[in-house]
Amino acid sequence: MSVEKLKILVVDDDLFFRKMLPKKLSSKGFIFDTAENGVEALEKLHANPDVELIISDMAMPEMNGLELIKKIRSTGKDVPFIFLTASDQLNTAIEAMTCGASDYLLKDENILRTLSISVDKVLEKHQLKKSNQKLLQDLAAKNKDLEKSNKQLLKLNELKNKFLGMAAHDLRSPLASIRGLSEFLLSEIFGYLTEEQKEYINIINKTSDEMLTLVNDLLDVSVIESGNLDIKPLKTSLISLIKDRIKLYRMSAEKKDTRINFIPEDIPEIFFDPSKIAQVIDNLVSNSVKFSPPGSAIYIHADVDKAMVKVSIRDEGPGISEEEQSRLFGEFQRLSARPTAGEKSTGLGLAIVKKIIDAHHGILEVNSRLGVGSTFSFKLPISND
Amino acid sequence: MTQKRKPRVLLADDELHIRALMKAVIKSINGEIVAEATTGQDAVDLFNEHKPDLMLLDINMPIKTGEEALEEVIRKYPNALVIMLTSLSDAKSVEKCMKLGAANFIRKDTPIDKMKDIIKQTWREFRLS
Repeated sequence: MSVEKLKILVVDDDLFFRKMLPKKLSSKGFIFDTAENGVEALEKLHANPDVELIISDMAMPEMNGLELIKKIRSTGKDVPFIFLTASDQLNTAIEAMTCGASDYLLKDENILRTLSISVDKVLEKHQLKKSNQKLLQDLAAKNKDLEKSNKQLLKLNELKNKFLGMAAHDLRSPLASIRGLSEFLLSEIFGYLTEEQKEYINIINKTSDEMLTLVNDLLDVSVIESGNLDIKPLKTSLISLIKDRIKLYRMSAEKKDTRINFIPEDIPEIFFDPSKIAQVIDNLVSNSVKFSPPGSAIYIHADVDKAMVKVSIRDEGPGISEEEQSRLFGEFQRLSARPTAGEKSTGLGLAIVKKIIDAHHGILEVNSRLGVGSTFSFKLPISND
Repeated sequence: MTQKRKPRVLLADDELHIRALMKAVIKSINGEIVAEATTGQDAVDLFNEHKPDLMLLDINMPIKTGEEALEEVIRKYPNALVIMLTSLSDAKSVEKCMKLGAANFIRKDTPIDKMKDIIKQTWREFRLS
């Protein structure tokens, strides 16, 4: 809003002031209107509601300055007022201040200077108030927009999860069939194969198995993301579970000349979801086997750490840098280390592990040094949950 | 499966790749596929016609679901040996089928060695009870 457009109403029964003030203040680029008394001022205000400032005398016939400001304030208009008073009107002027006048000035020889300064101050304050209002309005509008797009995003996310779940679900059994049928072919019970045929069918078999793992991971992620992670806690032995799961990995570890050592301490039975924690153990153990160089060892330890049971899995692999450690549990993260026997990685495993441990109100930690190895540990609460 | 004659199996699933896979599984444990059904109605009709020793029955089929077909077959042949073929989302149906009289169930993405074990074990338990 440019200053040029600002309107000022001068109210004074003295013609001299009505003529002089606009002339003396005109260099500031205001637009002036005048009124002889309070009644005319009200009419003028009604006709021009965009008046930005009223400079008014105090003592006037028909309606004085104080009555005028009271009348205007009672209609809810907050247009600024500057009063010009004679020295014997000071009490009235002070009362006018309590009615929300911005300033009062004595009609003395300095009146033009003091008035000029006062006008600038009053208008500046008024401008700030107005731009503040506008900002608040803009903010409210932007907030509304944000709320709307937020709702939309949540809806889209839900749709994405649903779609992901459906796609993964439908891909599962065809992939399992490809894997199964190729396995039968490789067993040669339906006929002997040439070396070349064996090679290609082996690839079909391996690839479909890897895809099946990815599909299962995607399904897990979609279930977890849509908040449907169902934890069914049972009070059972974590140590037995770990022993069982390790059995599955002993063979693939042996193939890589890697030893798995399980050294548990005495820990109590606790509440946890066995199938989900089995997934956690599978993931962490298979990772350590994956990244272990030949001839190394994996140490699995279980003990009690304050009010929690702690399981840690340490490998002698390449280790993980600090930067990568911060990305570790995010989705679709593939870090720089490569599996040491060409195994595949979906980048989802640790994200799923984190979500499962979180759902158990547990803690997941990683400790690693480049060139030395990594220790992944998870803690589960002992108290009944 | 220790029988002098080959066990006769009826295969019911609307998906070709599942039928192919289960055929290979049955053959690998010395079974014989006597017929294949692609709908629940087919399954009932073919069971009546062939009276197999074992039926592998998919839960999700058109024109009569596996559940409905199971109910009809068990009603007429209370000693029928039926193993349901299921996907992950069929949990509730599976429960119902077990209550209706199915002997066991196999998830379609089970590794084939495990599938063979489940069938052989169910056959043994059923024959011995």
